[in-house]
Amino acid sequence: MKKTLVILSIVTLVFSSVFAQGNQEVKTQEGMTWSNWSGSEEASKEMFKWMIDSFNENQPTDNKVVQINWPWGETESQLALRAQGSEKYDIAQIDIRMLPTLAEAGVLADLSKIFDNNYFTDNFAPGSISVGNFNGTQYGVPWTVAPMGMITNTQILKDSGVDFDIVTISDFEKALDMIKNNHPANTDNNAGNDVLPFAAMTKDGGTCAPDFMVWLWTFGASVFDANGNCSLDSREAIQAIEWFKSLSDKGYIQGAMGRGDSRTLFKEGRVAFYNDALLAKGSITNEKFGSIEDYAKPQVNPVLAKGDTPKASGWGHLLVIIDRSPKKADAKAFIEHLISKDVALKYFDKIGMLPSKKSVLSSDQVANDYWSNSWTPILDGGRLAETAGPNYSAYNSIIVENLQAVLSGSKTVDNAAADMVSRIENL
Amino acid sequence: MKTNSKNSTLMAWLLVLPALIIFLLMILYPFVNSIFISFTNKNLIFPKNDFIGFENYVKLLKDPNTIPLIWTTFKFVFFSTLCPFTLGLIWAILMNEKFKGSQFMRGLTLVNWIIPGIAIGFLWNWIFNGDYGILNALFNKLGIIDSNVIWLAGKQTSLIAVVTARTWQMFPWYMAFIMGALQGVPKELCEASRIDGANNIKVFHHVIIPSIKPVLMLILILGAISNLQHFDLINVMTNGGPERATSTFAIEVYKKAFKEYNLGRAAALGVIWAILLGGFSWVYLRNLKEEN
Repeated sequence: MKKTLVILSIVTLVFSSVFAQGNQEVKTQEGMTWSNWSGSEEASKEMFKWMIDSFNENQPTDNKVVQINWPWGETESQLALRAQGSEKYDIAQIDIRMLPTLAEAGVLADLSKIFDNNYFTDNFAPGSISVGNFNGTQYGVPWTVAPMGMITNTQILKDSGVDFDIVTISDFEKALDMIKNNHPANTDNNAGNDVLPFAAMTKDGGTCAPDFMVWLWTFGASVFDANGNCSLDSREAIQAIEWFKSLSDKGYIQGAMGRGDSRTLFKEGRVAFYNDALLAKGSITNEKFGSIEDYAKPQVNPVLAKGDTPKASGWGHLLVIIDRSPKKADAKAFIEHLISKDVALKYFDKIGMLPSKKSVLSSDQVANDYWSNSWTPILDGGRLAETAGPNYSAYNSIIVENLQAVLSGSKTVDNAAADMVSRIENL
Repeated sequence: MKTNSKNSTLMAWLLVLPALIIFLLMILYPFVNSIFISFTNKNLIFPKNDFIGFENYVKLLKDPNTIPLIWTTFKFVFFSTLCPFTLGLIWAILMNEKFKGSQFMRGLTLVNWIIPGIAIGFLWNWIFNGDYGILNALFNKLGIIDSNVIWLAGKQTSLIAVVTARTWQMFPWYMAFIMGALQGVPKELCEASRIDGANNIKVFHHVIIPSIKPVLMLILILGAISNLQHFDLINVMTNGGPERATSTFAIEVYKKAFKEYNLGRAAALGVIWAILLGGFSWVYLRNLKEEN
């Protein structure tokens, strides 16, 4: 009897645990779901909560917005994965480089069917509209769009005797040389306090490859030619790689440099130049050096010859509507709330995100801001990384691995270029 | 009598059933499914899933990075097993001695092992940072280097950094096992050897090591298996770079599946990885059997 009871108990336990999941009531989520990464980041957590609360205040229960957060690096795959499942989500914050992948995967709604005909042209500059467009279809509402610039430590330049404008590559090299050899921190023997002339990205594919593309474009090269073939072995591309290696050989740049490292070093006054987006302001502000205009100045990247158009890596966030969302009209209302003057200006004020709507951009608050004003010359030159798309990570890894091999001397420039082409073509 | 025997068999099956269900659902099914996926072009982003035969395997064999990947994995597993093992052995012998504070020291040593791998990765990343890392500052002070070394930028130095971090993380685990084994060595045997004229080294070599050999073998195999699967520390510290110098199977499979979205290729690499793991597991099981 006792044994039978034990057996019965075990059977009950096993089957109840196995079928527990099946019997669970599936809760249907009321309202809309907004997926984003910034809402989980410490700096913008409160801001995102306010954005949602201020919208929900005037909404009926079934229109209230709830957010789900993934880390930035997981957003693209999570959005695509959810598209294949049945989980509910309506609106998403995406990085502009995720657009080609998600658009190709059929995740995103065509916004021209949701917004009025002239909505985009009436409200945004052509450059901003284009970053949300893929193959002629408008998928994204530009939320904050500003290409990456070259951030300069003006104090280091002054201390090194750099008193000229940096316009061309040769000006840039001359400045790097002066910083390396003249800056007081580099002329004494305290190795721990060296000033690095240029914190170029050399660590990971996600930052190094897109940043390096700017130099490829500056030298007239590209990753792919007009026919879509990899052209990293072209004369111009080899010239760009050789130039990048020369920076390393002369000690102007160094290995294992990631964006976070460069920000930390810049904040500590140990880097003269580095590339970053407009949002870098919060990461590099250091009261020790006074107000940010006293030591940091964003500027365009140097060009090969005077008169050339400066190149820059596109950067920005888009708001998108998921194609299978049943609440597209309500999602549109939420997006309009996010880019409205009050919300956009508060976002700009607290986090430094440049608004994209023309009417908000022209407001005094934005126009009188030193940091965003300094960004104005950079705004026109942005270009999306050529590798953006489903193979973004694979292409970038190939580029960064070969660049690292060139910098360390384990491959010649020609061999690395040939390897990049061969691996990209055979992917 | 017959009913009792039937009941016992039923009871045995029922007791095994929960573990069996978990094994079937969580291990066997995903493994078999991975083998199927390795013969397809399944992608994480696009809903395609066509049978492509051995194409994924052929591409992996043709990939010039596959052999270096195996070699890097081997180097990582070898050094990340041997270094903490050696350190753990020395530490266990020291901790096995009765001295004031030995109990406290034993507990303190285990802290490394308790800290999550991600946190250890960030900690050692900071230590090895070329610009503001404590290691360069220390070496500078001691006059060992006169300019900063960018440890995580060099192919050899980055592997050394990762192995060092792994050693720091894992040596308490080896120490705990070895200490357990050491405490099982009969004291009389050691004393008898000493009476026969054996010095410490001879006692260690001829008495202690043979007594704890089965445990040493098992932890070496288990450690190697664990290092073959290790992911978090490398991912945080180097993400497999520079120039793939620290790219192991775990890193590569993750990148293929979740960064490049190529599930088919990731599964094929996973199958090769599982075969390698299977080799170690076979040695482990054989050892276990022999011991029994």
